[in-house]
Amino acid sequence: MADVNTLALLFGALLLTAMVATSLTKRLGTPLLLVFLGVGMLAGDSGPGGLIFNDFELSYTVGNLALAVILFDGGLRTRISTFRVALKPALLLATFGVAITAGITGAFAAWILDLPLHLGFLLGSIVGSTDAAAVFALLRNSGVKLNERVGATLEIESGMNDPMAIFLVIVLIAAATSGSLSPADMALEFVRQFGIGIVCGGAGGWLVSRLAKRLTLPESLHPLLLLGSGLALFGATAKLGGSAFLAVYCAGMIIGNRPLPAREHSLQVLDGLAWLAQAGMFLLLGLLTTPSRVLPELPQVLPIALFLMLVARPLSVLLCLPPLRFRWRELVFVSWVGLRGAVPIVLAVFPLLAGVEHALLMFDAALAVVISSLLIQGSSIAWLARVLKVEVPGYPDPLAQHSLHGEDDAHWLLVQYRVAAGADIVDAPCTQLDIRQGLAETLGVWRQGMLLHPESSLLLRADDLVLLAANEAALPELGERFAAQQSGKQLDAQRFFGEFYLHGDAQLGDVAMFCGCAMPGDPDLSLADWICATLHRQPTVGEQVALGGVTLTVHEIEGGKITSVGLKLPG
Amino acid sequence: MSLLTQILPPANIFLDMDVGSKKRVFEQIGIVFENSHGIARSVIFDSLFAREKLGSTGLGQGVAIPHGRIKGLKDATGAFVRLREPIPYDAPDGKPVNLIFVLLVPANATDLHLQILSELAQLFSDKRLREELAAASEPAEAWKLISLWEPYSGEAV
Repeated sequence: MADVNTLALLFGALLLTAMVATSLTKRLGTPLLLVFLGVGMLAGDSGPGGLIFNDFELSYTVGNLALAVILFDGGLRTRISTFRVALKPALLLATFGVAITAGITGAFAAWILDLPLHLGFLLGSIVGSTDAAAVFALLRNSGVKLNERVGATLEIESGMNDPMAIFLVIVLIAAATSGSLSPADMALEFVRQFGIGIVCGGAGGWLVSRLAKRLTLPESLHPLLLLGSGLALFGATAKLGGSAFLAVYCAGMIIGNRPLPAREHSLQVLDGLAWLAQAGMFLLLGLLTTPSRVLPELPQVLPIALFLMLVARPLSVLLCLPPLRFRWRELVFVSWVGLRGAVPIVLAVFPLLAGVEHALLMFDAALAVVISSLLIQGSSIAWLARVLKVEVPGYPDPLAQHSLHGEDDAHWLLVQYRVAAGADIVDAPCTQLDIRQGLAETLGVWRQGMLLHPESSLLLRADDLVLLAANEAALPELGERFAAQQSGKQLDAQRFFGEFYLHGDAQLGDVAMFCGCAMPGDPDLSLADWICATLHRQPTVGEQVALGGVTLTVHEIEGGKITSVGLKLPG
Repeated sequence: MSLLTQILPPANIFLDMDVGSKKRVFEQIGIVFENSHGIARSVIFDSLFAREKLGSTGLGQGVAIPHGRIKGLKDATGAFVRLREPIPYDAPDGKPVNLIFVLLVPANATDLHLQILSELAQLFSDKRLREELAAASEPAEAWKLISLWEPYSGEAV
């Protein structure tokens, strides 16, 4: 390292450019990751930057670490409560789904690129796993909230399918370099990697969670504790011969679902790190690619990308999910949102390092797949969610949200909202929040920087900043109260759920009587049970059943039971 | 001419009724229809209350449309009540209710009453109409507002 200053300047300038680009893409709605790729390409050997960078070894190291951080962060964010509807489909997609996608895509790639079949499969495995981080960033920007079954399935799938794809790639590389590998060996390797991965992740996550609770650290150091333990766990699991990626994901999940000191702060810092990791990978990729080499290959590699999107992914979804009774709209959506992100890029470096034949061609093919997936699928997700009606009404998040210091249970939160012009709460007494679900109490109101005491005589005005103590159950309603009416971005709740709400335990007979329709089933059944029986699957918020002339929509679910149902009148 | 004109007799408009609870409103309404239709007030009260037990008929924005099916009633009928003080109603937006339209339909009614409910929900989603109803000083004025209401575009909130 002769010139540290040049390196600092380069890295800093790249990061700075990326940040400026981020604020721009938010307005443009283009997938952010493409911007990093572009920045990397411009800085690279074919662009004006002219940087010659082809250190695959370094890319491999950075890529692995980056992936570990991304998966750890993904695990921290995964809510175990969503397992009720999403674990089975996500597990199926993450194991069989990946294998099917990899197999079909691989066969097609071998045929079109004229490669031996096992190298085709290797390429198929490289592009086999999906990336939900990209999907969720896109959806958040466009204000679309997915129904729980679809959203959680995609999220958990993308966390769990990376270890599977990585496993396949490693095994296939071993087969390619050291001759053949028997299916029995593969099965044994699978059990070993995943078994050790899950055990290490589970035990490690539990230990870290205990440790974080015991240690007294300033808030700013908690994320580092998590990061350090995540990386250590990653390394240790790999040394033991397990799937390190699975281990960090599992550990993240356990830590994130247990009480955690300084939770919001830690999650925010790790989110930033995961973001940096993702951006860094795409930057590196941009630097590594040589567009002048890729362009002539496009007629061969582009069909692979299209085949994956239009044939392989839909086919694997159709083979995995129908037994779980997904609606056809949901199947179409899940098929289309097989977005490929950072993982294929890292995986594409594996064969290069192992010295597998045609590795460079595979790298370019993976690049083509990722870029076309981000461009084509990425730009159409929000639109498709609306068209296929897999979205549910969302609510605006608070401006800021903190848990109480030193409290184990995260029940109470301190949240801040700004009163929007035309919001429901304008002109209402600041103490009268009229929350039906959960608890909320106004602690203070700031008007033009002045603190006003929350007395019942104080009427809220637009632009007031309000600090509240609230629990999680109250956040949807608080979001609605403080936001402008019909902000347009979010799906309107009344148009979605209907005019009235019925209790889940209302008797079907009474409901049918008031709707004036024929009795659809046992009149003594509760409305909740009848809806579950009609759907033949675990219900999620937003699912609809017709009853005579009215449409019933599941509105709230608590502990797996439907507690509130929207009733929409005809016309 | 809307469905609503046919079901709302001009006499069934009650402005600034001074009652403090849902229960008391339904009792008053029971008396009104007992006198005009000869149906026992308890029948009306029980039917309205049975419906509330399934889930509040509050629409939000201070409006509720309690409704019930009544044996022996020939045609759908209604009453409009404006309360002096808003009462708690467990509405979806949590706001107390001061504008109430009671709808009674025959026990064997088809889904015509769903159409009426739907029209009422549309009517009360009109902010201007709600404000005019809140300001009306004579029952005849309120009756006219409801009967002559036509949906305009883009003003619902």
